[in-house]
Amino acid sequence: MKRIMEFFRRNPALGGLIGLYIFLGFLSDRFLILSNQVNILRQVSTQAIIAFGMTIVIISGGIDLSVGSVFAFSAVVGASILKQGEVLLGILVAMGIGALFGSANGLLVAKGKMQPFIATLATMAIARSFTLVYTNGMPITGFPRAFGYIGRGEILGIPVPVIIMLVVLITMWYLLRMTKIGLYSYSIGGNEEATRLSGIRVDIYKIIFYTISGILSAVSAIILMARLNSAQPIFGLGYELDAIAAVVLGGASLSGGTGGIIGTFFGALLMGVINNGLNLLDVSPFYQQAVKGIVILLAVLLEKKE
Amino acid sequence: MNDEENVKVVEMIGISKKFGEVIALRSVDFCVYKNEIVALVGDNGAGKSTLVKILSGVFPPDSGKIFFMGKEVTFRSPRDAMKLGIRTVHQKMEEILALNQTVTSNMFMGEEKTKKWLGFNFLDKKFMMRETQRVLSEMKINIPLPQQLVGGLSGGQRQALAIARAIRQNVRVLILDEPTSALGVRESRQVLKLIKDLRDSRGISIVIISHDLEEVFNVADRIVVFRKGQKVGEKFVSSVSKDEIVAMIVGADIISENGGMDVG
Repeated sequence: MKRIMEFFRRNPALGGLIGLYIFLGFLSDRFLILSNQVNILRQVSTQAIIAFGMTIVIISGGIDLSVGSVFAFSAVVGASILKQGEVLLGILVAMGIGALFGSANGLLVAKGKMQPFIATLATMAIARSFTLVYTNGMPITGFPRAFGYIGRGEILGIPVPVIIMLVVLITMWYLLRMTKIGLYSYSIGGNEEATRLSGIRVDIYKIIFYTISGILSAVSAIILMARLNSAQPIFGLGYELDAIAAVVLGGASLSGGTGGIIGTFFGALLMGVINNGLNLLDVSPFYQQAVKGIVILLAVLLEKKE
Repeated sequence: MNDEENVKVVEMIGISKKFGEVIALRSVDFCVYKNEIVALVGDNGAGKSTLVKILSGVFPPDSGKIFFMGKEVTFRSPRDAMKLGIRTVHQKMEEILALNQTVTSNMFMGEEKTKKWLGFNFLDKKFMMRETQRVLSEMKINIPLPQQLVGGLSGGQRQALAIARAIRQNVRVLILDEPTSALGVRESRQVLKLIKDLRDSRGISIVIISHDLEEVFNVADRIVVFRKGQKVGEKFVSSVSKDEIVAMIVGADIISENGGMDVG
């Protein structure tokens, strides 16, 4: 029993999820059916992909507030190219924008010795402003049909966004658990000075972490654009907070050194299930943020209780 | 001392370092011979730690030259010094080990072994764990589980692990910055024994910083005294008394600065 408690203390999101599944399974006859579950996964996929990038940044002791704005800017620039019918180029440019902003964040933090919170707060404002200037505040719509497949297609009944999410999930799990990049994110988050004195080029690895986060924001943006067949300048507002919440719900600490991709996945899923459940139960969407906030507080309190 | 042992592994000439307006080192000459234990002593702020940090590549000197086996070298990062086999166990525990990581991760930090599988690089966790176990038992360090978190180890275990990591491979000069200051009596004795064994069995040179003269006289072959950023004395342990060293440390005028045998 003690070990079970310990397990859930370390994985607050999973405990919450199991509780919610039982609760919602009883309350709504539509919740557990397969199409609804697939629907949840599809809705969660964009959030989860951003949160996966945020995970490696937070484990390394940093934070990336710019993900929502980078999401929007990479979307609108990619969209303007997609509109010309250039699918592959549009995707590559969007990801390039993500990588560019991510590496800029990394440079500011690693070489500029800025606090990650401040550095990414600044790039968050800059990317949002660029987005509004680039679009003049107007949405960009109408992409090639083939592009829409990324957002609305299915393979063997599994939505393409879910497949992309799973690919990112596995890739990030591999990175974090099996490679030096991942190991060093834990080392840097746990003890940056010791890592540096071990001869590890901490600066370069920090730039890599933020670049991954930027690229994954763009990947997520590509999926949402494809699903909605448009890119909006207000894309991604508040996404940074949802991503941070998913990471923390997944058992990571904002002081760095702990966390994991699977935990983050459950964290993102928990948020998705809350949204879905409240919709099914006809609860006003105005309550959704409050419920999420309470869940985050409970999770962190649970984790703190030693 | 025969010719074989008279080889200078490291020679530092005219090393100066300022931090803002504070002069940490003022044109210091220092050398390490093969297979010796040299102790750096001096009051807090005398410049000992600054000197070993320069020697281990943490930061560069403002001026001065470093020679390794007779060849001039420059260190841009700790990695450069490590490549030559200059390995350092820094003073503060928080600068040595990542407490949230396993014994194995710390042992291999920065030198992880990887293996290729289907074209992807994977950390070779099994190999690293076996190797950690081998090194620990070879050095008779009592850490039962290599997958244990370092945060759960005692001070002595952590210090021993830090030393084990430093000497695991390719070490010519081992630098220990106050290796026993955070340890109890029994643990200190174990660490000192470990240091002596290393010199005798592996033939490496050891630079040790210590405030404990008892310990210095017990373990070192040679003592270098620092005061206010300058080297004020250099003696063989066999030709000096503790009182003389103390006098040099505090700057009393009992002995003239060139009074003793000059071994430089």
